[in-house]
Order: sequence, then C-alpha cells, then structure tokens
Amino acid sequence: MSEPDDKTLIRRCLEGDDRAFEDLVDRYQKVLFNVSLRMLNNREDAMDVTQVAFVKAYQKLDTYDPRFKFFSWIYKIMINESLNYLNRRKIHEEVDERMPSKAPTPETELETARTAEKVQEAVAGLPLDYRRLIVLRHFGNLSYRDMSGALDIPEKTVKSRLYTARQMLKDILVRRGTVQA
Amino acid sequence: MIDEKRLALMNAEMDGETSPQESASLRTILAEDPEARVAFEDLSRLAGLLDAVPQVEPPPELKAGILRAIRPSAPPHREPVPRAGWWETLTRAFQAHGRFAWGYGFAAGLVLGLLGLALFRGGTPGLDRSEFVGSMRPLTSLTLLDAQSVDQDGVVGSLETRAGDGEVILRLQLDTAPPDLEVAVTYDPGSFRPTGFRQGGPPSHIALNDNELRFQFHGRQTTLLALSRLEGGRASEVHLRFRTSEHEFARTLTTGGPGS
Repeated sequence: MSEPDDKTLIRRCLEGDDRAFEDLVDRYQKVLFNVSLRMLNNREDAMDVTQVAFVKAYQKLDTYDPRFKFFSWIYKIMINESLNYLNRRKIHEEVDERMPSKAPTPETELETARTAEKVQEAVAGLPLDYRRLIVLRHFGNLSYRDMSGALDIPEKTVKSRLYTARQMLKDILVRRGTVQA
Repeated sequence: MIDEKRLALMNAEMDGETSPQESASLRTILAEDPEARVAFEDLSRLAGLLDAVPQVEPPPELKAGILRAIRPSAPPHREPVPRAGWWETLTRAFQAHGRFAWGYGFAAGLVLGLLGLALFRGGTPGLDRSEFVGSMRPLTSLTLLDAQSVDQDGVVGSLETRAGDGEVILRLQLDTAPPDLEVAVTYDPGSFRPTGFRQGGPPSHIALNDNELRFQFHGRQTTLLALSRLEGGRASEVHLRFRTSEHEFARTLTTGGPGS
C-alpha cells in the first residue's frame, strides 16, 4: 500500500488524527534537522529549532494553503526560527570559533571527514543570505521555486544569489586550501 | 573569462533547472570552449564536496519532544530521573545550552519574588494565593515550545516557553532594559493558572489580575513564570506587553498544543 501524501496527512491531522502529524514528523524530521544544523552549525540549536518549527506548524496547520507544498511551508517556518536563533545568540559572528572538534575517525574515513568538516566550516562562514541558499539547495534539495517560496524572494534572486554563494564558497575553500584555484 | 550568462546556465544545469534546449546548448558550449569546461568541472566539484557532507541522524529525543509538545495531555516519554525540586529542575532545563549559562542572572541571590507582600496589590478577590505561592509541582521534563529574541526600544534579550507535566514555563532573560520597564503577561484564565514566579536581581513590584501578571524589570534580569494548564483550556499562546513611559510593544509566545 502506498503511503499517504502530505496533503492527506494534513487533512487527517486537522480532523483530529494526531498520528497523521507523527507521520509528517517521521517524513521530514531528518531533512529539517540537517538543514537547521547546517544553518546554525550547532546540534542543540538545530534540535530546538526543528522542534519549534514542527510545533508551530502543528499549531498553524489550519492556515496551511494546500496549493503549496507542505515542506516548503514548514521550511519557511524553520528558516524563520533559525534566523531568530541566529539573531538571539549572535552566533554568526563567532560560528567559526564554535565548530566542535570531531571525534577520532578511522583512518580510511579521516580524509573524507576532514573535507566534509572543512566544507561545513566554509558554509558556516558564508553571510546568512547566501548560507541559507546553499543549505536549502544542497542539504534540503529544494528547487528554485521552493526556495523562492520558503525565503519570500523572487526566483530570479534565488538564482543569482545561489550563483554568488557558490562563488563565495569556492573562494573560501580556495583560501583555506581545501580546493585548488 | 566566462560570461555571466554561461555561468548562470551551468549553475542551472547543475541544479536540474534547465530545459532540454538549455541543456543541449550547454553541451555545445562545453564541447567548444575549454575554459567553460574547466569552469563547469569546478562547479561540479564544489557540488560534489557539498553532497559529500554527510546527513546526520536527528537525535531520537527530537521526535518525542515534538509529540510531547503538541500533546500536552499525553503522558511524557521520559527517562526516570532523580526527583528534584522545581527550581533545580527549571534551572537545569534552561541551562541545557552552555553559552546560555544564566546562573549569573541569579548569582546575586534569587529573589523569591513571590507574590506575598508587594505582590497582588490590587489582586483579584477569590484567587487562591496560597496555591500560587507554594504548590508548584516538580518538573522533570521541559520541552522547548517557542524562542524569540527581543531588540526593541531599549529592551534586549530573549523569551522562551517550555512545557512539561501540564505546565508551561515562560522565561524572560533581558540583557538590557529601560529603568521603568514593566512587563505584562496576559493569558487565558480558562486555560492557565499561574503557579510560580521567580526573578533574579532586585525585587520587583508584582501585580496579578484575573488574566494578567505584571512585574518590573531592572536592567539585566531573568524571570521565570510557571503557568499550570487547566483542563479543557484551549489557549495556545501567552501575550507579553513591554511598557515604559515612552514606548510599548507586544510579543506572543506559543504555549504548546491547541489546548486539547
């Protein structure tokens, strides 16, 4: 039997079936947590933000417009929550200093893990407007249209900022010696 | 130097946002222009690096926390923990973030601002004050419901609501505040009953009405307010008003599920 789509789950949830919301949590918690983690660069904050986003989505479920995709809508809530966190904790200025040190990794995986860590550091070093585009595109797999909806900016701006973001990211990685010029 | 149009096309191709015609056009460009080919390879390499950053499994407690927050009446799934006093429990819960160490806010000694004395000036007849002062149950699990920052009219700080065991805890941590700041917390009296209040720093004048608790802030201070959720209450928000002689602004914080 095929799984019910998001809109069916939302309808059931609005009819009082909390189990349906649990299914939505199962479906999206991993990707939302990962997007949040890449935005905030902190596991505890990412968990808090993901949780708040789900709770707010649940509470505002009756305002959800089914013409749009559920995940674009919840992304929007989550991005706003992430921004609240960033404003509140002002971590965008100190984010590089707060990168957690990695636990020892088996030698064969070390290089990959190091590179991934450097890439994550570089993403965290991007200005917020550019970081969120990289994160939504590469960690959330959102299309230009969905990003435009989630961030409330025109699709054209999504495109141009994403290109700029990639260029900035590459510059950071070149400067740090992670990739060659 | 590759022109912007071609770079845009390469980016769109990598994002799967090109039409078949655009893809074909890019293939031609790449076949004919070595410089474009290098640029496209660079871009693909960058995308590969991003895609190689591993997905992280969310902590198992995330889902449990979400479900607990949206179903305040459901029995919380939690590990048994040593029984602690409510104050210790609150402190621990809010100290979960290291850099949120706000013990300093209370270092000067917590003023058990409660509601005896100066409180309840003009309080409501019929309100059971003894319950408010002393009956708060120990909380063993607090789930974050809402978190907001404030930076307006000289008021700078953060606001949070957390839930556990049928109670909602409102926490206000202000880093700076005008000297005459008064905060009013308004709630639905059919949904909540205030059961505890603590404020670090100098004592505050506190007033309680049917649906509102008002208190003062003196610069950098942290205040906790516990609201017990009443059976059948449907409210899912509390409202805060920050008032000085010159300004007034409001905030709304969620308090968990729709009150069901």
